[in-house]
Amino acid sequence: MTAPVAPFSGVLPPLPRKNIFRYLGMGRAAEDPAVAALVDECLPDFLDSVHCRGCYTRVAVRINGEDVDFVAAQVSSASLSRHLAGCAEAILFAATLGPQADLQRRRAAVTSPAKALVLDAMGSAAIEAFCDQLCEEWAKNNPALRLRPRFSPGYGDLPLSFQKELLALLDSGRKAGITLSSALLMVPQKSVSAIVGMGQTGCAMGVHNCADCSKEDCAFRL
Amino acid sequence: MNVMECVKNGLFYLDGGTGTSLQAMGLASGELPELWNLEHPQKVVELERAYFEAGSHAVATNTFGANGLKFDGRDGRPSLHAVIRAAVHCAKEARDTARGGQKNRFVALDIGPLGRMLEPLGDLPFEAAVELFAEIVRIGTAEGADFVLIETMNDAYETKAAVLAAKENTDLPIFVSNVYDENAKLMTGATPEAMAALLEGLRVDVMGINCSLGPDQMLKLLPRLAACTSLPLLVKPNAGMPHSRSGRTVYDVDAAHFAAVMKQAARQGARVIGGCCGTTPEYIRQMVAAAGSVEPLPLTPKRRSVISSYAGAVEFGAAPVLIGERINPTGKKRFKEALRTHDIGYILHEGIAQQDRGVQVLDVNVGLPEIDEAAMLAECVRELQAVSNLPLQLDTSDPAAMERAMRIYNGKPMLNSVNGKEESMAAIFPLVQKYGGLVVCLTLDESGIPDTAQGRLAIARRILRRAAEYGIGPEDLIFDPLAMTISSDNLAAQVTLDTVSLLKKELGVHCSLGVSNVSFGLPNREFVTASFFMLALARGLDAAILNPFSAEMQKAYRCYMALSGQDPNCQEYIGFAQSVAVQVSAAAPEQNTASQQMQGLSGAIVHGLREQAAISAREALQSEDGLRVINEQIIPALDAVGQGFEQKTIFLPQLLMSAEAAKAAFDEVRKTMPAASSEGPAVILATVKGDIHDIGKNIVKVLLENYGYRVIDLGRDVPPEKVLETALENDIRLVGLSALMTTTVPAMEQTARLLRAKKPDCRVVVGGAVLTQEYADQIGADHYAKNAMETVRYAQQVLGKAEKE
Repeated sequence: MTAPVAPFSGVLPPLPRKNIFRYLGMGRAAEDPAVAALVDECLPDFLDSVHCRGCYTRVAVRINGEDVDFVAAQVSSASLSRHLAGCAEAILFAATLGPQADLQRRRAAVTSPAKALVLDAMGSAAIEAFCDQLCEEWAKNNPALRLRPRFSPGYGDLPLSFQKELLALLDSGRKAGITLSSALLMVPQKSVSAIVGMGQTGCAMGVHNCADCSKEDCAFRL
Repeated sequence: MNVMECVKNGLFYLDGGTGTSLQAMGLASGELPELWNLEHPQKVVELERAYFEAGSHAVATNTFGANGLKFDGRDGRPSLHAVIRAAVHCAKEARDTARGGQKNRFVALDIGPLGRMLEPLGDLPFEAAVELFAEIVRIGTAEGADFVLIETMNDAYETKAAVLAAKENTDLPIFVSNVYDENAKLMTGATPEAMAALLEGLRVDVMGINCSLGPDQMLKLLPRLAACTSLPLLVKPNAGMPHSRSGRTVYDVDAAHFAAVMKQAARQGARVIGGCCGTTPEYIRQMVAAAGSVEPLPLTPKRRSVISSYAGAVEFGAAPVLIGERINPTGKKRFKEALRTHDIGYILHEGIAQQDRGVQVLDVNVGLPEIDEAAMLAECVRELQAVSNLPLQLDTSDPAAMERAMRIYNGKPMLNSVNGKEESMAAIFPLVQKYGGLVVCLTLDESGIPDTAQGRLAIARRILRRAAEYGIGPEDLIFDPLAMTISSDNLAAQVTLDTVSLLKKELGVHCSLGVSNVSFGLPNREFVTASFFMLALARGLDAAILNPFSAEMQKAYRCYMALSGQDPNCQEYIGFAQSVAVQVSAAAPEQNTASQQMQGLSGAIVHGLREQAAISAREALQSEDGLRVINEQIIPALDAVGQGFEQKTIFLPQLLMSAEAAKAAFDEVRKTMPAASSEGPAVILATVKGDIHDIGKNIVKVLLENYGYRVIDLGRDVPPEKVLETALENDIRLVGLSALMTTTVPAMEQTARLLRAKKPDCRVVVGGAVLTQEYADQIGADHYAKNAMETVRYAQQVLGKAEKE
């Protein structure tokens, strides 16, 4: 008998302003007053449009070479296998800002693509903040375990097609309103699905630090 | 008794959870419950029999996830037919073998969501969804289900697709249940009032709420649901939230508490009750025992005059409803041009701009002799409902265009219009019967428009009678007594106003007017129109089709609301009056010297100040001609910003804001120049098949337009053939393709190759998050543009610099 998939809804944590600018590609630039004014103008409506939801389950993990077995789903991936080394369990989850944010962005695009761009950046910053909050909470509730950074289909050699199994296992359509398109895009657009390894040892989840990363031409580098 | 007789007779009990109960019987997580109909039919029968024996009048077949997307008969998967057939047989066997006999026991064909989001949020076309549901309905009906239970729907559009499929493929009663959150909204935004409008319009038999919430939370939503529908109300809560307890899944609401709350629910208007996730036969047994003594509330017709969008409802009869008239080509050169060149963006802009000016409904009229009106109306409806949450008034005299638009409309539309002519009613009323709608009825007939109020009243009576024959009540009709111009008949306005009074007094119906016509042929028309509007409101007008950009109309409306006591503390009026004052004072300090104006317009563009740019452009145009303003102010400012972007001193949001400011300035210039017959060279932009992310494409579009190119925007999820077809039709020499995901790059390649083969003189530029020069080379594109400015530069290289206007 596997553990149930629990749906959850949540409140968006405060949105770090610098992350909005970061997703606008302006993370390292001085704050431009006109852009800042647009961000201020968009923020209240954006926050109104967000309905954070998701679902998760905690499963046993067995790793055999590159094969990773989550009981109800299996996948072969060298990078995921490496990432989960030392984990006997994992949390599988999907989270979303909900469809209203998509509709709002689409409406903004009719009259102002700049606004749509700002809303898009807010959406990216918001879903990441929501996922950070979830992971921090799971880490807090499992003090004996070391939670790994979240790992999503499409990372490393974990195929994007694993979305199908992952979201089916999570029953994410019914539990959180997250579905897949035929091209494996998640709907609503601002959604994340991921695997969080729970290890006895090894690296604990840290806050992402751009300085640790070698991709120096990244548009989102801080 | 049959199903509906049972429902009308008293409380009607449904079953409890199926999937969660089967899991408790050994169904593994990740395993499809529907497979058990074939692999473990006896377990399914055992569960369903237990529900009948617990007191359920109806048990739903184990077909929640059974659809053609999951069960296609390929790769060892069973066919949909096999799954549904086995499921109906299980339920029938359960009924036939349950203690207590078969009397008043029914099998519901259970239909859940398809698991794919419909367009525009997702990529499943509406008609594809209808066909997937139709398949389920046909099999279930043939196998002998007693009614259709469409449940756990969290999107209004998917709900409509399922109901249409049921209506078109079975005569069985249709029960519909949606998932509402604690704020009484579906995931995609619909309120209970909006769902009631949609579902009553579609003539379903039962509507309700299930899943997601526990009984206590659902109870809180019940009064609101009960108030907005005349239909029997279905309530099917979860047993609270699931938790893991020593390896078992348990729900936090027990059977006793569940039963006690359901008894309350029955007292407050629930009539069809059962349980959803986590409930078991024991929950149902206790619920039946507890609710058995309750006499359900009587079913009362609510007679609400209401229309809806995918999100909200608009009700007629309280505050006057404002309907925006601007999506209409009559007398508008620019709009006609947009229709001819298929410039949907312009039409959407007209819609959103009216919404921002406070209208509650958008009239949509896109009839022009030289275009395919049915196709255009359908497309505009689809696009408008993807960006606006306002209900639409479908305005066409072509019944075929009307039907096509009604079918794909995401809600209950307003229809403009029928009249007293037999032919008109015979064409439109059957459509209302099938799809639902609130119909504007013009008081004219075969012999024209009567000169008197009594004559118009007589036509209204006839329309009412005829509608009743189609089962359409007066609440779904709104009468337009026709405002004619006073410049040709001095008494025209009086007769119209008297007709409003008479219709309300004699028939008690709602009235709507297209008010603008009254002033035709007169100078300063707005003065007359606004005064007439005010007089009509005083006679009890319920809705008006008007121009919301008219300050006089806004003024008349705000003043009327305040004067008629419908604006508490005059708050709306004060807000309006203050916004007018701000506009007046904001314009004042703009009296600058000519040199400052020069500075002003370029500066406004560089700094991305849209309104300022428009104001500065207007001022510059007082002393300069349009071409000079463009060449000496707008273009240099744009160039400065573009170069800044390329040198990385200016970032994308700033570039876009400047582009929008420049566009606002161009619009002002355009007003002073004779209508440009042709614009610059045309470029096609499209997000490729399978991809629904269009933000990058939209950015490129704005910039290309700024630089004088005419953009044919094919939108998102565009098939390769469509790109080719448009390129051939317009002899296009440059196509821009966008893709965000690696999974959609193959579609980009297909499109590029198709163009290469069939239109070899056309260049293809590609861009998007996952694209690289290497990818672009691989898929046979001519150019990879890393950002929007690069696309502009490439266009200049291929097509030459475009001259704006």
